[in-house]
Amino acid sequence: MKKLTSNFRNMAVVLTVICILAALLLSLFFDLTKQRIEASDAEKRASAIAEVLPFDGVRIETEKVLVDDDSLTVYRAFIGDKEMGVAVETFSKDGFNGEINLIVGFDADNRIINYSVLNQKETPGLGTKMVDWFKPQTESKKSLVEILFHFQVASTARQSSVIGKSAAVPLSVSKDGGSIDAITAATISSRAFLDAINRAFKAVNKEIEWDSTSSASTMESENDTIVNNVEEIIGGDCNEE
Amino acid sequence: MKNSIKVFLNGFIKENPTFILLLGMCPTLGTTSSAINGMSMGLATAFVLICSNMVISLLKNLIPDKVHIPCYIVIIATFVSILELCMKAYLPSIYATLGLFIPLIVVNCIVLGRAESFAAKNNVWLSAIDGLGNGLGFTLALTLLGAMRELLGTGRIFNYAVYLESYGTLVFVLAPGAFIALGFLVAIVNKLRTK
Repeated sequence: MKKLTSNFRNMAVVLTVICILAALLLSLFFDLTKQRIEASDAEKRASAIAEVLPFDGVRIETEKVLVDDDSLTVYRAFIGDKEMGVAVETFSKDGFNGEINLIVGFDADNRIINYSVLNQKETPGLGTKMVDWFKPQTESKKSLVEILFHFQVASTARQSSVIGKSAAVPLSVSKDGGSIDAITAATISSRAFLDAINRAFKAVNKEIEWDSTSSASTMESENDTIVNNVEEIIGGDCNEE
Repeated sequence: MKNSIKVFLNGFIKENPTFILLLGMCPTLGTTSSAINGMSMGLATAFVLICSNMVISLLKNLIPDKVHIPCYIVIIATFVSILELCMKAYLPSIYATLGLFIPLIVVNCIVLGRAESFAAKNNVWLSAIDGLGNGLGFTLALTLLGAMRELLGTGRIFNYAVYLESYGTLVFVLAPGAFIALGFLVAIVNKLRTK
């Protein structure tokens, strides 16, 4: 077949037809995948809730709670009429690369049972460690070198677990005078994580009143954010640990 | 058959889009923070490349010369959007890490470049082979780069711990490390090639 010449009629017809076909194909695939996309979002949320509220046979009630003008979704877990715990879907806008979303589970005494990170865009290998950094330390799997040469390097102990914490004062990283060790070379991500946790504390315990001195210390710490930015970009300094 | 193999090897090794032609550097540098990420991005691009090459080769005589670029872009963008929807639905965890870079496949110069220089002049079968060769060549390059960065940066390959993570050089996981690692890989490949 000979190639169509580039006159106005041919060009208009061909472009229109291609665009219509493309639109049809796209709407077809949109319909095909729509349900699955929604289902996989819901699945992810449901498994996160199950992870942070490890009770059998609970009934979950959902409600919205207003914290500092932001509306957070709260999942209350009941067995019969007894409230077993609360999961809060919380967030922080101070992440290194945008918003962080997590679900935090609390028991009846407002202590943290567990957390699960739903969504984060932190630097791979640094901020992404938040997924398990703030849980109790587990023995890491042996690396190939350790297996081959029969030795084991003890992992350095750290005070970074938020599990079991309840909030008398807002949680903060040890660099800001707090009790939680930040992720090595990812102080900004760690602060953002604790910011999200603190927001969740406010959602479960509305009477909570943190005095202004603690917020003053967070204000102060913002001054060295730029320094920390540089640290994160060049991979962090060793002294930070 | 001999011709098909030649076309395949041409894209896969002889004119490898990343190591020899240095095309499509944005996803190459942006998504290779680990071997698995690099491989997923490479396979995603390979899918788009094969589909768009075939369709463009089918339609090559129906598309008037003066509007061929807009037509190609519409076709490529359609396949990229389909891929994006399918990944969201069936591979949500990979989509979460590659997210931003998937729509950018539309403007990846490899895809439009192969459409222009190969699919517009050859038959459907050879165009598909060309897409496969280039796509897998790109996948190979991204996987190698990702594995190198992951190993140097975190002491792992495909998430398998090779040596202690605390001895890794974090800079290789970050953007500057991508440039350094790519530079060395290109140098090594070209040294081997000119021998």
